[in-house]
Amino acid sequence: MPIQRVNDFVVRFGNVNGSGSASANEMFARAVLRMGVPVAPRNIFPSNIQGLPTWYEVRITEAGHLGARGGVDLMVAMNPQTWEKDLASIDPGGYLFYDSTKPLPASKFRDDITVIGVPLTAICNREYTDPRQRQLFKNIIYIGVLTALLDMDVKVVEQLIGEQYKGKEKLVPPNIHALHLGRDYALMNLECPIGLKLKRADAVGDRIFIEGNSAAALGAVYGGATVCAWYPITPSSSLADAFTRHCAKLRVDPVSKKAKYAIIQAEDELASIGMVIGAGWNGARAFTATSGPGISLMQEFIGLAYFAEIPAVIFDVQRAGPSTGMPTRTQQCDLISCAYASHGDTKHVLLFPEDPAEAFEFSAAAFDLADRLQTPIFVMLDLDIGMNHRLSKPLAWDDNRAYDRGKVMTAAELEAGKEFGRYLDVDGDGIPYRTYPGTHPTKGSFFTRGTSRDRYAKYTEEGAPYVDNMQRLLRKFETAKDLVPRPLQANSANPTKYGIIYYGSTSPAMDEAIHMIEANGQPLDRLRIRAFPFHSSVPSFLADHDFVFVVEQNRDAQMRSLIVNECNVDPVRLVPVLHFDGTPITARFIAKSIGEHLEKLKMTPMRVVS
Amino acid sequence: MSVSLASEAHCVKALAAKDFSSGAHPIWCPGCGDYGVLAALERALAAYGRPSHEVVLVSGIGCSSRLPAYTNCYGFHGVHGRALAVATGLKLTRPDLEVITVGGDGDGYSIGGNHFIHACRRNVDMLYLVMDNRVYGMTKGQPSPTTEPDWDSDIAPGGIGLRPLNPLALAIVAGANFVARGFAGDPQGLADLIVEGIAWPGFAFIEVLSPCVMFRPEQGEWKKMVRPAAMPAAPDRAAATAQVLAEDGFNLGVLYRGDRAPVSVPVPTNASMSEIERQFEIGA
Repeated sequence: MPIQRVNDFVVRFGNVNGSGSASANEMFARAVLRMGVPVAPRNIFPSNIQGLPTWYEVRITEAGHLGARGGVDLMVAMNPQTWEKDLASIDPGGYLFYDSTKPLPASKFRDDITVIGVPLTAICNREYTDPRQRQLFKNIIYIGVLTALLDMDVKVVEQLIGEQYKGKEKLVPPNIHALHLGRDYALMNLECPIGLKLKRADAVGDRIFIEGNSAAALGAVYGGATVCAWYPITPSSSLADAFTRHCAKLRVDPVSKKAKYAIIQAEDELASIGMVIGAGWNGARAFTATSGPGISLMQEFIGLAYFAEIPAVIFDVQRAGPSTGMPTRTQQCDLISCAYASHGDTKHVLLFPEDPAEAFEFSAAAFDLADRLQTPIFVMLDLDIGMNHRLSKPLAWDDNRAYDRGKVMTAAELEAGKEFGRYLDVDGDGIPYRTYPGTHPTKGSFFTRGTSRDRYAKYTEEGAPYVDNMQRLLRKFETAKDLVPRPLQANSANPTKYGIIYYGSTSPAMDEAIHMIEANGQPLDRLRIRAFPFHSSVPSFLADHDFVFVVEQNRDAQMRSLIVNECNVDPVRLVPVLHFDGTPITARFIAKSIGEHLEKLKMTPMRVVS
Repeated sequence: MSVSLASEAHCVKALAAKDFSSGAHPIWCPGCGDYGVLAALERALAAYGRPSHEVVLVSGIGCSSRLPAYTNCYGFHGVHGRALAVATGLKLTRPDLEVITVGGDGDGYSIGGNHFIHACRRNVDMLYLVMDNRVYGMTKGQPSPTTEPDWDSDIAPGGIGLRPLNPLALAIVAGANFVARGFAGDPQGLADLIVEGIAWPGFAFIEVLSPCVMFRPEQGEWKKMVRPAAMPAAPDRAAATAQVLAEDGFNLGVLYRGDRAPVSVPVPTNASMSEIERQFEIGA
């Protein structure tokens, strides 16, 4: 039985990288949005510029489920290289739309799906002579076919074409012509619409459509960042790229037209973090954007910033490691390497945004935290958040918000005779005062070093001042627990002994999965961790539940390890639920894994036999 | 110094270029210069005459660093920018193997710049072949150390305004003895250079102009600009440096041959366990 659904299905496009399909596919996603129906698109692309397979998945979801769902209802199979895989990915009862120019034997299909053939290449060859045009318009033609198959409002697509070629109006009529070539073919030759339909709705609201990297870069601008030093690495390059664009608009002096920012593409990641530390030491707000291999390279400098207490912000857009791993696939696999980055006893603050809105918010917050805590702050993004457009609540900023520049002693305070010791814990929170270089001609200067020193920044190899300093750094880490974003707890309507802990990009899939699990009669309390070190509500949550599932996207249960390590909890009570094949975690996966586990835990009352 | 091509001792049977191909389909864009480099390398290895299992190709990360996978030599696709470090360790322990390091301009001159300088200094016997397209291809078009200052791109609007690195001058100054420039669109000329570079005792550096059709389509013009170098080989390091600093970057051929002795590689001894143990014995 063919699947029958309205505003709730998954369309997946299988294309060849570099064939110009990306903009056509994105136009399809935007057209659905314009019809008032939320979408969650995901780009699954190879580490390649042209030629390898690439997929674009559009989850159409009036209910607003923005996580990956898993499975495909309509496969738009435009890449012969991946035919078998694409065919196999379709859910039973689903639909296959393919280019039928070259006839395929029946053995190439499945009998439990609906097959829709359109001779796209033949149509293109008839209509166009230029090979590049044939390629590009083919993409628009299949979008035209989709408008008929899914009963879409074609006017919306026409309008989007008009907007896309604003300034190049010559290109509008041929694109609209191509759109109708496909649409008319489908209307005349195929049964339209199919069982999957789009209906105008009003479910998008005031949400915006934005990539996490762009939102994080904007957060850096709002957070006061003026220096960015970076080195190209997927999937973080677009963050630096977006910062460049945002700064060109937002950080240029309106009168002199001079740039009020510095962006340095450094020679490597070691240089990037070094530049950031130099700028941060001077009081500028500086950041670098990188991914796992870059974090590995930055380790030594990160230790310096921790020990010398210099603010720095590091965006880690995580990808599947180790080593080069799968550089265009997503994971949450750098928690341990960031939390304890560098040699010796080190611990760092990590923030875990769930989506672009939080990427913006935490990005700005990271600069305040770095100044307040005088230490590196890691914003743990991943490819799924960073490089996909996500429907997101509007970015919010309070124009009255003042930056927290932390404890900085001024020339006036020094002049007034206030005691200055660079590593003196005057407030008991482990955070000392610093001065910016050049503050006062005779007072407040100090020597910054990665070697051991006393409270007045004087070199020492004595054990006692070393221990004193290391313990103060721990006190500072304790202070951080109440400064970082708190975990968010959502309790089930019914009391339960079981809980779930999750974080970051797992969030949208979890929001959906929880309904699936609860519909099965299995109530669960949820805690979304938003930062490390853990706020006291994390150990309380653990204490309140017999078993807690820790859901994450890595092999080694890295968050679970952090919890075990930092909260002194019996590991047996933390059940790992792990997804790490490089694709984003799905609600189906979570519901199935946790559901199966809960079934096993269900206790059958023992019959007492007398 | 004269160089003998293809030492006869290695020639058992005549090899063909295809004997060095793995058959894997390169991921490069159609029209990429790296295809020409791969073809030239296979041709050169066949001409040089050592079988593929005695050749090791070491690379870093980037489009051009994918090259070793397309040959059936031993390959090492390591970390970004540090192929020369791996290759040095390899050659010092296995001097019997032919070691060739390949990569791109970002990999070799930016993140790997330090290793490049010191590989030139050390003068360990290997060939280093850099496919220079003056752009980061794999990460989608950022400027590299050899990018022209006014090259306009999204990430560096109006150009980066920085002086491009001159890799040949850097190599000569750092102590390299064999410094050449080849062109991806001239596979035969490049193959000849590669054969000479492999045979060269010590560190040989070949900078290959390898156009990027995707992000630098204007490099299609290079085929009209390159020419065999007309100038005579410079008499000494200072003159050679001045020469490569003065020319326009399109002279092909060996631009400098020096005479520093290569690092002498200790021949590994197969000491027996008892001999080793004897070193730790206490007393007479």
